[in-house]
Amino acid sequence: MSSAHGLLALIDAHYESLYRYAYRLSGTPADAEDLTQETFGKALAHLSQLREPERAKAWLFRILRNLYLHKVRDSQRHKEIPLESLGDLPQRPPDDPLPEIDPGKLQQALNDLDETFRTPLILFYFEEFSYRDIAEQMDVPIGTVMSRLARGKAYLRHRLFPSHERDHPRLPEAKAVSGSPQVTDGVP
Amino acid sequence: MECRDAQFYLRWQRHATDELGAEVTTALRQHLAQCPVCAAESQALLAFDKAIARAMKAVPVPPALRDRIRTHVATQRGARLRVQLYRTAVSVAAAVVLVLLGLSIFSSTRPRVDPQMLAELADDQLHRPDDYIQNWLIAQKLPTELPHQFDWELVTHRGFDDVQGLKVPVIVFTTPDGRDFAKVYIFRKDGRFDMRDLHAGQASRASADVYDTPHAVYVIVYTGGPRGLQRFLTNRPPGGPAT
Ligand SMILES: [Zn+2]
Repeated sequence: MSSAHGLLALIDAHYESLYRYAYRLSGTPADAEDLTQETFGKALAHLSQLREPERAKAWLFRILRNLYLHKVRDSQRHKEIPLESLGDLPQRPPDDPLPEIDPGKLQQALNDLDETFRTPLILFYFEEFSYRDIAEQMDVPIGTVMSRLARGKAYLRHRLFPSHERDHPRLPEAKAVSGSPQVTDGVP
Repeated sequence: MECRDAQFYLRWQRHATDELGAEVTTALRQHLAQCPVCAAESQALLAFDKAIARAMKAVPVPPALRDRIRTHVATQRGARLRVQLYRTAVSVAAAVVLVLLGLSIFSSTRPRVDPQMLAELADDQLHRPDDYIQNWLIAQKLPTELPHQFDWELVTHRGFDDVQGLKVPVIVFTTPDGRDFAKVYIFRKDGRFDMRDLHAGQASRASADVYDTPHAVYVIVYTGGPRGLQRFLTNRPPGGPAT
């Protein structure tokens, strides 16, 4: 990697989004800062492996998630939220405008979620990653990502807008997106 | 497209991107245009996504985080370099020790001249001149910004110059043809020098500009005429250096 794309340039360009990602993953400022620093430390050691500078952001996000998974191991990673009971459709939102969401409450909801659902939600709402990008980050098929996102969103609605829950006729079973990979369910 | 298909695809539509493919997106749009029920559902789902996205990104970033990361990385770089040098040293140590013992001049107190280490430092400078300077500035606890955007590729030296009997940090830039140079002296505001009322200087072939900043005074000495400094900056005018 040339000096023009040196590590300092990477830090300047990506430290803020990495920190936000780390914060949403880990739930605390201290862990988020450690993860962000360690990510760049690791990037320094493996800078020669970064062949495409335009992929740097995805590369750094991937490093950060791996560090996080390594840290929390199995204890923190798997949570006992029964997503199965929610189905995968967000309930139809009411016609009145949604109240502003408290970022702290959102974090509590994320903390209680299994990492396999938390990560795609965070990446999705950061809006810079396509479904395909998220699938690559997590090493899962794109259909799995879409399925987890649908269920993760339903969970967020359930947690953040419980008063808006109401009986809503379930739609007939979903069919596959034509031209896109099959939507699958659960862990591959 | 029918309502049940539209409702299915609505789950994955996104505000800014079309990830469902042109065919599905077109059909979905046409359906939403003539079906108020699905259109309302679409609006509500997008509003939900927007609200979550806003909250998701509302994470305040600590103001000094960038500097802490830079320091962390600089420290780690130093450590990595020392490990490399240590390994090199260990690999030649046995032979060196034997030779020195044979010559009876072994001394454990004096640092040894280490050409390998000096070569590796030069390598470092060549490969990442910006890091080379930035890390040095961080190590000296000096601001990492200089008064101008200098072209790091032109750095030939950084270290200390004797100025009126005191050591002063200096960065030296040299033009590719080797004829002209610019020296950036960094005077800390630590009371060692009297820095009241400083003015630019001018000699027959060199100029000295003064930049007073909150943490340090920079004196930039350069050759090549009144516009000679331009040759060392990244935003120098195209079509060759000024003379
Ligand atoms: Zn409809």
